[in-house]
Amino acid sequence: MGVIIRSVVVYVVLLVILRMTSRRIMRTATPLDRVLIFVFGGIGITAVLHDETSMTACFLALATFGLLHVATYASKLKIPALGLISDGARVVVFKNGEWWENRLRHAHLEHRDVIAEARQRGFKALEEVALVVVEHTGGLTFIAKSDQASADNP
Amino acid sequence: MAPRPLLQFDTDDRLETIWKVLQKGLLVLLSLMVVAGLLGLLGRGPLSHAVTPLPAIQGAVRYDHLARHTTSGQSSVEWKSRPAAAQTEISLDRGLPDAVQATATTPTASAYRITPDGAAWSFAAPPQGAGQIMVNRVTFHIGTSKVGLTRGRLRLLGQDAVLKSFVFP
Repeated sequence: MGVIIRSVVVYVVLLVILRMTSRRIMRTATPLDRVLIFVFGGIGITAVLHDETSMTACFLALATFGLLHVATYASKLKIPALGLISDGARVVVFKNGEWWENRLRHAHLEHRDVIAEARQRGFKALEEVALVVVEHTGGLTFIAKSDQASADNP
Repeated sequence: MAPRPLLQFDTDDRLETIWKVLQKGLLVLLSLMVVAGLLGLLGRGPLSHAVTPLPAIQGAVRYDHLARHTTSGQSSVEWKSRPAAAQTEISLDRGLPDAVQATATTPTASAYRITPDGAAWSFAAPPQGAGQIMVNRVTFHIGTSKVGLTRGRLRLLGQDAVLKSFVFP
């Protein structure tokens, strides 16, 4: 019983803390973001299992985390607002040559993060980019000026 | 020239259907597991305890009949008695000490000895008035060391209590 209650608490707390600290954990994680995952994981295991080392306790914790994850996903389908809370919403951080600094800061991103991602997508200069969006999944989406022009004039 | 393998963009509906059924079954299984865990049917919960009465001495043994491997717990023995002897001995037959290790007792036992068929703890009777009936309580702080079904016997003041427990891995 204790394992299940602790698993629920740790899941909710980790969800909140991960949302607060970083939104690019999986897609564009830096080494610092990865350190965060390892540390959170280590602390979480200790808190969930406490003094228990049995396989039953381990399975119970895994089952609880699995069900919570499925329940969160199902709740997001029913209540879209919950998805905004758990995942966040997309944010435009660069538009027509202008950086939106507040939004960048809020997404815990720097110019060089966006520029590095742009280079990886094959852009040679930011002048080629019309729009950069930080998606709720943590990834960055780049809309090239040429794409935007063809979309505007089909 | 060997034909170039085509990329497959279609969905294997049969596999998807089987996987959906498996997934639902697994979710039901996980839910049952969590409910059982909350109830204590997998150890450490409201239904994991059992009470075996010792009617002749108005006592009872409260212990975990569902426990988890390498997990610490408590078992307590409670009984009412008049001060007939300076010492009271609680003995367990071999089935229990082999599977459940008592790391300490509260109050601390005045003596511990290995008996031919198990182990015994002696407790000094506390001072009290003559003829006064008192409630005695001894708590064993235990750790489970063997997985599976365990069956043992606790003996106190000539009364036997059969203790059955299952230790999950």
